[in-house]
Amino acid sequence: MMTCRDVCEKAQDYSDKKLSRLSRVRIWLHVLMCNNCNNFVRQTKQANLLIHQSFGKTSDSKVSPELMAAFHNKKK
Amino acid sequence: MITPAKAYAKSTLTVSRFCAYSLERGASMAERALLRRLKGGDEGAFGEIYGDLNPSMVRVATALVGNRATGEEVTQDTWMAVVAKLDSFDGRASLKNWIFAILANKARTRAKQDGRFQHLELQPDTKDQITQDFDDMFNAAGNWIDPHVLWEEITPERILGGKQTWDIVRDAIDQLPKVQAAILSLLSREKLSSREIAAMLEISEGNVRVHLFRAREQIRRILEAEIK
Repeated sequence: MMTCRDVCEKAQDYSDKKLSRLSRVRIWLHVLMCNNCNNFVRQTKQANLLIHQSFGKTSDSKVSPELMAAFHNKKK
Repeated sequence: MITPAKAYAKSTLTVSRFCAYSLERGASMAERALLRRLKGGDEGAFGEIYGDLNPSMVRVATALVGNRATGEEVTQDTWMAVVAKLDSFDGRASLKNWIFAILANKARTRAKQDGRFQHLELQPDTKDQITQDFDDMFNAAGNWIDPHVLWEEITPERILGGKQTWDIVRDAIDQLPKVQAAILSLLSREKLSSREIAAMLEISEGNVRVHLFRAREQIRRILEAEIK
């Protein structure tokens, strides 16, 4: 039987679906019976999603005039 | 004891390994189209790829050279090298991985020149605050000491303590050790695999996972503290 600590240490891999089927089932069974771990796993999933979304492909990086000039000169 | 000669040999080997992985991955159709536009001198395409990759490149360079100002310099030098070598790039490998391989090489060379070169590999017994806190959260039998409460649903738009969730997450990322912020960016923004990240940063895949675990757990705790 997995302990709560085991579940929490594996919560990120569980959230990333990087565990074996057996490990996933063992965590799922534990989480079904343990409110604390259920809360922790849900928080981990939420936090990971927010982190992932915060790295969205928006960017305010602008090419410097010097670099754009080098790129422009390459064409010639 | 790692001598500078051994470190250099290891670094060259690892960059080659990273390039080999990028060859394995190959260039996607979108990348090939972008490469054609770049080779044709399309400034819009150059602005596009620059905006796309520059934030992660600065984070990786900063992790490798140890400070942000030098990291930005190295990134700029990398772009200059990319422009100079673009016509000789055949497009068999992924364009993104090719650019990151140049960056990692330049950052390592610069770190060695500045006497700042350091391996990012964690020692097996390295314990940080996160791991120690885990020791305090559970009893000897591995059960929770205090109950763990559920958050209310949090959305990016939700205001917490006068700040949007986004701002809290972004501030938390900026507070992370540089290598952890770089790994998060490579994984979440550039969609690189743990293996590609490990080869680029010259650390094991196991180490990538440990850094990733600590980074995410740190951010989860910051969010938890804001919500309470």
